[in-house]
Amino acid sequence: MNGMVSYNVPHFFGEGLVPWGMLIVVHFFLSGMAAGSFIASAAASYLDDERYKKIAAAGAYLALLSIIVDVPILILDLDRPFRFITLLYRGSVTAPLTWGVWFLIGLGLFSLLNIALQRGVEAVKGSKALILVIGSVCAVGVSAYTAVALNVATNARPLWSDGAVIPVFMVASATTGIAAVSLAVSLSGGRKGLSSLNAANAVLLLFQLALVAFMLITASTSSPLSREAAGVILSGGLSLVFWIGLVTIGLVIPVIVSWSNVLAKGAEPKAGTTALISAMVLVGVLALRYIIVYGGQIIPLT
Amino acid sequence: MERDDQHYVGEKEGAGRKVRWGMVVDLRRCIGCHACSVACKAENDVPVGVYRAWVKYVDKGTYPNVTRHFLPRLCNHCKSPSCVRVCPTKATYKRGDGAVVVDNDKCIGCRSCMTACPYDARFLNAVTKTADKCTFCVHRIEKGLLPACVQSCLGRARIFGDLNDPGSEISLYVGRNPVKQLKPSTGNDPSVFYIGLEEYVEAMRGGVTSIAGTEGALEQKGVI
Repeated sequence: MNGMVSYNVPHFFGEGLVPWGMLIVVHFFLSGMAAGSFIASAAASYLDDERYKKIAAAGAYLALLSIIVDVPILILDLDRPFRFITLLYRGSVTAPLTWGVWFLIGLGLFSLLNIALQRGVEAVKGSKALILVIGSVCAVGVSAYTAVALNVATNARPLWSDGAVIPVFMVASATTGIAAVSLAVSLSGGRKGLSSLNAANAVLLLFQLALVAFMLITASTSSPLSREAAGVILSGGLSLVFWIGLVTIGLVIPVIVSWSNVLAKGAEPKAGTTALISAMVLVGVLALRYIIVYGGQIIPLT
Repeated sequence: MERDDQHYVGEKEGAGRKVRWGMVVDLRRCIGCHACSVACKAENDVPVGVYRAWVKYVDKGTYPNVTRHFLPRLCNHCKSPSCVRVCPTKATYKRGDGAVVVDNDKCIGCRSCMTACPYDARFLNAVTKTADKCTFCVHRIEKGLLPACVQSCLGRARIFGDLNDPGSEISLYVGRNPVKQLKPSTGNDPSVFYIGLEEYVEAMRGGVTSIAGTEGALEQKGVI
């Protein structure tokens, strides 16, 4: 018989009481959407300005919109929100949050320039390559920050300390951006270029599926704390969000539909179907962020 | 303060040598009275419901053959603290004497340090709205006093002093006894050491006498 803990005072224990809660989940989700949308816009703009005009414009606007909503959420999550400004001049270089904030500011600025670019403003036309490249660097930085913020916690938390969280979050940012752009384009009645977005997400979603499986297999076969966290996700308190939200809605159905579109070849996919599948991918990524952020904190450390 | 003084904690900075404050908790002497928790609360005005120092109990066996084991907990004032690395505003920092402290005027309450601490030593102070934790009572040490938990410990289970001073009581204790740190695999290198942790671990595992080979697993599980 194992010893029984008869008295303890853990500061953080269970789903209801974690250091990082729902606002951080939404912050990571929106940061990923901003990064992914910008990269989708930059790629569309670089590949074929004419054919992908709508995609490039939608991505540029979505990136800026995501940041405008995202940054206040991050500030609101602070217990001392008015001190947010100190991050800008006192920032520690070893802290992921410092980098994240600077990348977010950079991405916001370059999204604004990208919007000007997409609207055909003469003053920025000559700097197209510069805007797209530096903006993409900021986007990759924002995307990486969401993962590194968790991964940097040494061996403190299960799931987070496995390196797998970095590619999982990076790919999730890309799928979020592509799905958000697809949703915006299809809702606006356009179909041009949707097949390319569909093909990109068909591949990326397969990657996401494989990476999530890899992460959970790794967790299930490593330390007892990681095994416990994997158990909570696969069959415990987070299992409903995992199996319904992420696996069924966010991965399996979108993978089947997007691959059937790819294999059908030729015609652009229907706008209605694309909108529905894109919305499902967004729900799936939100579920993924939720599961990983909570899954790392739900097991008491003491 | 002289070396034979019962409150001697080590030499002050000087002679080209830096102080590194540390603590040894001798679990063989702990009686689980919570005097440390109470003294810490009173000394540092810690809000209700949260603790800078607390004592975990583990019961082993079935009546009438029951034993209770205690594990006093506090911030480990790690040599390589992950909380300091992740603090975006340098509000959490490591002092020259080894104590890890929080500057309330700089903390923005992002809780990064709480997610990064492998020991759950930190909490959010509802009054100051900033991160809070044990400070080794630096305000007392600077005046030559012992930390409140050490001063109030009935069984003298807590030994505090300068780990860099080979003549301090703590250095002698560490030299003469097998000491262990909590979760050494995190690489944080705590400045708080335990004597008799094996017995506590054994209690958690339920009567198995050897901990060889399982220490890592237990430690990952948060047992030690």
